Amino acid sequence: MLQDPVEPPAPASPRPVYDWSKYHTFPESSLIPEGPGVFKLVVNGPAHSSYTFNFDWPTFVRQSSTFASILKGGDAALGQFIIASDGTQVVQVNGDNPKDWSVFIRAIYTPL
Amino acid sequence: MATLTQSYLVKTLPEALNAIGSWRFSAGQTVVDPDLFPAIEGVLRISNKYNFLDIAAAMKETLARFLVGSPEALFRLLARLNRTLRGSLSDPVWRYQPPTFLKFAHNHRIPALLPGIYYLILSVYDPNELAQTQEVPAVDKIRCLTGFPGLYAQLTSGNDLLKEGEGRNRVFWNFVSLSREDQQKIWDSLPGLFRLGTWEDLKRGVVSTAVS
Repeated sequence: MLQDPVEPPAPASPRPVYDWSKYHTFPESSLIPEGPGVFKLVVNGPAHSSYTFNFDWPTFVRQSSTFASILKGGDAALGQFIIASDGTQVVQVNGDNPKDWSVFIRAIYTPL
Repeated sequence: MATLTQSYLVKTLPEALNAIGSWRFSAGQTVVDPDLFPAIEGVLRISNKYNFLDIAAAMKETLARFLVGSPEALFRLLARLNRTLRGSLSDPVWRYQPPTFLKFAHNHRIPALLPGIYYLILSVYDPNELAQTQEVPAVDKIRCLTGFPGLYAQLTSGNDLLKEGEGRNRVFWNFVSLSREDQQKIWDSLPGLFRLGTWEDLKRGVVSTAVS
């Protein structure tokens, strides 16, 4: 019996696993409520330390053309949008000082 | 879990900028909260890298207004400098500060800060000393020294009582004794005297290349 050639399904690329307990969380992250529309920014700090911040999509898409592009899956040079194995939406950036992000969160979410 | 904190964050940015010169950090020998500028630079680095244009613009506007980009800010800094120095010609701690502001203004391209910073430089260096110091880049020195005669004449009303080597920087402290109207008049004239162009150009980020 002839069958239509059907391409075998491509194996789904494995989603990366993040052990969030190993990440430092800045207290400023508490400025952003948990829930839908929140993504985690992962910043690799000095001496293999890694930090996460919670951010909300609308603010970042509205304020930054670069993040708008990253969150659509583009602009990999500055940051990469990833869906983690636990479903967490992640943007991974490199080369930034976590301290810079710490003060930046204050600047963007609280009045100057 | 490790956290990183900045002590300046207990204040808003204008409050932190307004506090410059109001105290000394004896260990670091500075009149500025040592956490303040690293924090500001951190915000600007992220804003610039990821195109947070409104945040960068708001930071620069706030800096221009509260650091040394208005007659009120210049008055505040000079009043504190005057009070701190109490008759001595100058002070290494205060001398250190304007070149630091200058580097910051250049690094982050905030030319609207330059006229006020140049005025501060002339308030802590006699022109002879300024010509010799390595703390101020050559092009900024030239602009400061170009503006010196016109400003000096305005501030002394033509009655030049001080001679070379007598700390002519002290004349620039007279700004705090002037009326608001005269302060504004001097303030308005600064970009032209320093060959920087106009206030409008500087606020748009453009610096005249008449001296470069």
